[in-house]
Amino acid sequence: MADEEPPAGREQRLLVADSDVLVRHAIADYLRRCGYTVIEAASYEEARAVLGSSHMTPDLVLSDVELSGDGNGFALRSLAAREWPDVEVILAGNVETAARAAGDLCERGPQLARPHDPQLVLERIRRALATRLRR
Amino acid sequence: MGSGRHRPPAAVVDSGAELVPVLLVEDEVFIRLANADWLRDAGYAVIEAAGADEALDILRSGQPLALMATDINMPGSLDGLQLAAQVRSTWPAMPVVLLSAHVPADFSRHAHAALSKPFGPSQLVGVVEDLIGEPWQTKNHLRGANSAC
Repeated sequence: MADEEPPAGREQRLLVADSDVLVRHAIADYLRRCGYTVIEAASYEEARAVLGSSHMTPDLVLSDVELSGDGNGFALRSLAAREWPDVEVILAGNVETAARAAGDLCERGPQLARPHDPQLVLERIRRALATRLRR
Repeated sequence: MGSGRHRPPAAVVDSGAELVPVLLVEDEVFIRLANADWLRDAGYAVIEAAGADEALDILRSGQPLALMATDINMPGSLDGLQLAAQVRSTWPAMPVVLLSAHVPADFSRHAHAALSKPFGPSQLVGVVEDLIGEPWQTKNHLRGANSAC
């Protein structure tokens, strides 16, 4: 998390950037249950637009490395470091890392407690991905 | 956000039942965020999809859904009307709302309701409520309108 706390009275806002809707939804849903306000971005361009929006700048970004669009997660992190240095960007290279990062964020989040083990998020993502593969 | 959120009766909260989410399909990120916020503020759980392909991924994933609201003009393999037609054919029990600046006169062939852009929070929440009831009533739809296909 960025060192600076969000302004008093405002919810902590996270940006979850992942081009796979099944992964993005599961992670975003979990983080909302942890008390965060979560903005979802489906591509590099969407994430960049949200970061550049003065009334929507997130406190932290959790992004997949393989983000689709004109740039990937590394490019997003570089852009954020250059343009919005107060915004921390956590990169996840796979769903396991993403679920673990979400669990860690939950523990320091507004509710200071996990709604459930992040392993359940991971299992939910795997089930959804497996269902898609079967179709 | 949050201040206008309707609260369900305590008995509903205590039941521990999950809200069945609504699926919001919109390719313009800021419109999607605003519309999703309005629905969340009203108490609905919302899944966001940035296009028809993402929407179909969610619909087929086994995630129960109470309703789909979709933009019409979207890039990708299907536009909103084609998506609505596919949903009506595959999941006929799924209530569908079209959201567009240009709602076709024969929208009822594709959807149960339509909203002309621009619209406000009360209009969006109102049409969703008309179709599936108050947010906590979606707990009665635990199987989801897309469960039978």
